[in-house]
Amino acid sequence: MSRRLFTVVRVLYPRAWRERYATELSDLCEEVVKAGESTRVRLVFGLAGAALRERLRSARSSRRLAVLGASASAVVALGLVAAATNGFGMIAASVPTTPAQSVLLHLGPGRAQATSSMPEPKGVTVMASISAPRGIDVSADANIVGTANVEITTVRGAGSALSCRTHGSENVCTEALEWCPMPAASWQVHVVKQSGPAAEVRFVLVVGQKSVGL
Amino acid sequence: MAISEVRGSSDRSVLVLASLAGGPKHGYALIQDVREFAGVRLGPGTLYGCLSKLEAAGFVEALPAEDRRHPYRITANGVEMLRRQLSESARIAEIGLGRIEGTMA
Repeated sequence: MSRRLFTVVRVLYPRAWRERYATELSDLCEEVVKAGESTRVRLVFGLAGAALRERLRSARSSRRLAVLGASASAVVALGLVAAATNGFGMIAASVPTTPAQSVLLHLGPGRAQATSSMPEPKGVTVMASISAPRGIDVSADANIVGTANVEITTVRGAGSALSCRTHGSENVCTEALEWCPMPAASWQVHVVKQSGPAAEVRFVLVVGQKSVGL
Repeated sequence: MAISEVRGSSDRSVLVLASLAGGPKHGYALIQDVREFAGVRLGPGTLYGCLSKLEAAGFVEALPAEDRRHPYRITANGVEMLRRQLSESARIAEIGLGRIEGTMA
């Protein structure tokens, strides 16, 4: 991994974390790439996802109300990284081109659950999100049986969602995934609502085209 | 850092601790070892996310760098934490397997 590229990626990490681990992480990335065990593209996105998790953890542990701000800045930075790496001509083949798939499930009043399926093409899992009316907490579990599992929830503090925001009358929680290569498959989506009035819940899964070298 | 925070990402942390229980290792050796004994492929970012949490909790500690490799070793507290985690996993596995056998009989 080039020093220039790593410099761009590492600004995503919290400063304290960066000062302690960035050199070690950079050395390890170089070793992994040199051994042919990963591509720079894969490392960039892996590191970006890990950096976002560190930022969220850092914000939580310091009890600052900066989670959204940190997430927003990190997402902006992630965009900059994507733009920068694209500028390096490295990820032209890895930009997601498959339209996001979604399912809309109707849940009755009180505790309710529903199941659906989503056919997805072969590719890498990029992002998941769940939308529900404000004030109603829901959790979703999507999986390819025996192969993959994605969980996301709107319950505050219960999941690892990258961000939860309000859009009009809905809460939308989004989580970045780890770009794991998955086969073409029908994902089984199971959504649970613990209480509250009947609601419609939308689950979205973004699968990207397989990157060069993945 | 609370132990519960380490447990929150327990699978990977336990894998890293289990690897270090076999002796100090640098990052690349950890990735290789975990892949060999658990079939789990850790990326560098994920690995260092685990190491930073484990180090903050006092379960691992850094050793002096060797060339450009940065080894870590498990601490006594880390060994105890790993022992508890694996014992709990073994207990649950034993119960689950016993129930499966009871169902199949």
